[in-house]
Amino acid sequence: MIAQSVAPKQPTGVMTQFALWLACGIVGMLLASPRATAGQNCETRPLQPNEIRSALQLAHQVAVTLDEARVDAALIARAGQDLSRHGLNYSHAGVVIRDAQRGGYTVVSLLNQCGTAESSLYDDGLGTFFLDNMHRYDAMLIIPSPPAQAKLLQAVTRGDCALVHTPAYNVVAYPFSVQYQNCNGWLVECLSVAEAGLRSRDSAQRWLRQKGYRPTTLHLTTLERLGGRMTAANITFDDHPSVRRFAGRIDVASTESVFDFYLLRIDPGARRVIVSEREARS
Amino acid sequence: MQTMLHPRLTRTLQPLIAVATAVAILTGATPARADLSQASAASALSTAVFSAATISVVHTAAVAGTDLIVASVRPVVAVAQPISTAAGESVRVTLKGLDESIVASVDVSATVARSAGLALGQSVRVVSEATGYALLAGATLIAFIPNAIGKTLIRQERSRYGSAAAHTWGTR
Repeated sequence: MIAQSVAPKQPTGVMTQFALWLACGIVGMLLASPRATAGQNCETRPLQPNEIRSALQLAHQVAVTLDEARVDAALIARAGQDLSRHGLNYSHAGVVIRDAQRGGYTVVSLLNQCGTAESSLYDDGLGTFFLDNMHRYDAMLIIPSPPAQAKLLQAVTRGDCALVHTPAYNVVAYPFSVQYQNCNGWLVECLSVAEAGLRSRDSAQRWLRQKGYRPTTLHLTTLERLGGRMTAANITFDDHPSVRRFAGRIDVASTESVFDFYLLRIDPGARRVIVSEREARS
Repeated sequence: MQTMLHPRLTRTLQPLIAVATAVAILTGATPARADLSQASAASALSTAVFSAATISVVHTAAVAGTDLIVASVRPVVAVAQPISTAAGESVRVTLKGLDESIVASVDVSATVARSAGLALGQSVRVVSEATGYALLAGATLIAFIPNAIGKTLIRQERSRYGSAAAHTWGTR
């Protein structure tokens, strides 16, 4: 529990703030966030009551959906940023597992630490997962077939997926390089670990290529690339192949590319469910 | 967070009063702000979440579906803001039941209070929802207090499922 994870102190102010962690918006501050400012990768501001209400309601609806489907492990995505310019609806994703130890469900995902080029894996309650200034309060779930759920659950809880995490964070990490990683890059490598029993980033990425994983290609101008690189600690393009990079084609792991890959190449028996604050629909 | 309760009501209401969920979360959340600028801020990501309204004390279940009356609205003097000075002003709103059997105080964003037009004697409705209690002044949500279900949805920690500390795939 949050309240147990840190030593209680007297409130230092009435308005608790939260950070807009650019958890893994693939183009985060580079293109999508008008709030971004030079040298500042995150923002703090009070969370409004309607945001708390919507986040918890959506989280509850997701939990109900997972419970009804008797899910042990699934993929979950949130819409933290408006990425419609790139034809994308979701900005961040992770693995949601039934958590006997904590109760309910826990989302395991890679998060970028505010204002840095570092990341860690975190365990979030479903409510916390959506308490990050959502662009839209809905969630996309991929519910794997039961055998695939078992493999995914084991890969996460046994720590195998942590083997393919690197703390060197880059919002626009090239998904076929082990130099950096973004959240969706970790997720797709975690899926390869679960499916093929791999234990390194190199082998995971080879497997992804062989299986036909196709990242999302962003089209960025030179100015956009330069602007992003110069103003953010967690944006760099030096891991991308030069030819594509200088042509302004930046390949990144997006939530959609990972989910589509999973449905097409890993578990065709999986199903996609969209959950809103009030309902779930397949 | 201070408990604000009419003294003569303390004994009779004690069984009904619980420090709202939000209080515990807020208390835990506050240090996260101090960690925010630190790279190792394990719990900083979204622990500092319950903000725009904080409840000092109210047994929301007991008042759900009822109207409370605004008894006072006072500015809150904020102490040090370790992360940002842009947190915004807030006001402490004291609410009473029609028969004065319920007293609660809520810290509300000044912006929210203004938009709700909070004033003495105004009615605030407590609505029970699946994950908490909504305090509504007219159509404006001035506070949301997670209930037991909502509370279970809120937690964050460094992942228990392994660490990549030993893996250094690249440096910058």
